[in-house]
Amino acid sequence: MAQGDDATRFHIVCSDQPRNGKTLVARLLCDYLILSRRAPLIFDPATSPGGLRSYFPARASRVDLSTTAGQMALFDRALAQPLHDSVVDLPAHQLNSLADLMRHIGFGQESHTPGVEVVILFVADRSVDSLLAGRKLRGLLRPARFIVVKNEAILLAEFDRLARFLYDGLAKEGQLIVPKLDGAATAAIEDKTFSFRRFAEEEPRGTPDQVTRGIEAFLGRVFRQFEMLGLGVDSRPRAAAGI
Amino acid sequence: MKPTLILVGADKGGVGKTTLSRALLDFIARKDVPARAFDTEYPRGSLKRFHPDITEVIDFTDVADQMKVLDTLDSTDARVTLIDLKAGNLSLSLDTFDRIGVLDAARNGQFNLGLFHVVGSSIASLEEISELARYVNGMEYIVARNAVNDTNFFEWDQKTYKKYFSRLNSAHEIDIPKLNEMAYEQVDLAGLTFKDFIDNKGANGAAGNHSFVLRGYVRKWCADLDLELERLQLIQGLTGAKPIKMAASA
Repeated sequence: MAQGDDATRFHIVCSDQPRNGKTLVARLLCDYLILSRRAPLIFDPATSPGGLRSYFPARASRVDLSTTAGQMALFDRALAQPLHDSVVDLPAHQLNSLADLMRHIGFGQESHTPGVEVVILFVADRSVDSLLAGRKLRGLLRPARFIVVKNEAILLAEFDRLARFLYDGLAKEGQLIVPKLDGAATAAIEDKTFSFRRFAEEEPRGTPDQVTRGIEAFLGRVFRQFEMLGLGVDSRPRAAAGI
Repeated sequence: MKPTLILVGADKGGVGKTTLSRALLDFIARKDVPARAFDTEYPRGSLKRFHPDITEVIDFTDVADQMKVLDTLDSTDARVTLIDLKAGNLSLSLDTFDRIGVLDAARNGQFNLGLFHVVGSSIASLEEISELARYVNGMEYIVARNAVNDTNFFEWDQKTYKKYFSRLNSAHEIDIPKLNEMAYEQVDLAGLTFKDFIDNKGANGAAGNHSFVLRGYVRKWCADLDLELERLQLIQGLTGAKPIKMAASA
């Protein structure tokens, strides 16, 4: 797969299981890319409220991937704007159908979409089955990058031997560890008006110091990992192109 | 090498006959086999707008037009001649071919002859197969079940179906897979071959601006259809493909 600064990145944040931090990871990625001046296109295929649309009401597009028109609204739009990366926050129940669709139409295959890098951020859930699902997805789509995400708020206990073996196999290309936040900080960031980008750019107001420090440490750790993973590298002349 | 005559017919309209003709011409072109086509939906034609360079609209009831097709089988540069028969005229057309000796000529080995019979899901379709039995011996007869128009073939009683098929020699079946409706509509509206649509071309070979998603659907459909067609001996003879173990005929 083509990699490098000239590629357009199509990020899919996904998991085989619901309610394990996918939208949080997608939000972090979107805000990081915005701060890195990569002006991402943001797509929310969720049918229920609470997804990316609620945090990026002006930027995020709702797409119904069960219809051909919705599929076109996602893939055709992403390809039509090669100066912008894309982020998709994919509900768990749509994982298999999106993977099948991408294979069916050839999206992400170098021969059909040159210059497009598919980057999968797979949030691993508690079970071995989840890790196996991640491995299957990686084999099916053969993305340019596969990054396994470990949400420490979900995966509290150490992996058993089999799970550790599977996780390590997935993590070879890259891993992202999302640290656990305490209850107050979690409540603060889950507020629909909270923006990681604004938090990073402006002085926080009205937030207790302890919560602020907790979010700062959290954000610093996550953003450093994004940087090390090379997700915000921008040496292309696209910074001037805004949404 | 012997020329090949391919007939595509149906005994009623709306079952996807012309879609199959288009798909066959597309397949043959992709295999770099020179072909020509005759569109018998006289006078306007339905196939010609998709393959204008190789298609002529003719009136197959007119003797002069019959001669135009059949008397040039040996002399044309095209290795394949495809005739898209008018919907509802399949039995009549085969009767005409029989009376003028075309079927005998094929049986005598002057050229290869294949008939793609596009069928619907009703029991009447099985009757159509039965009616054609007296014509199709000696040619490669292919029953094409076309899912493009979302026909449900579960109406067919398999036991009855097998009974009809057992009366026919050299009979095969293929399933034309279902193509996404929006993709089908766009190709139709654009008036392009399937290949040109996939290659994102516009009219006259200029660059097109077609949806990647729809092109992907058409690409996959063509790939799946290729697998069906490549099972047929008639097609293997054209493309020089190695024989594939055939699925058992019904």
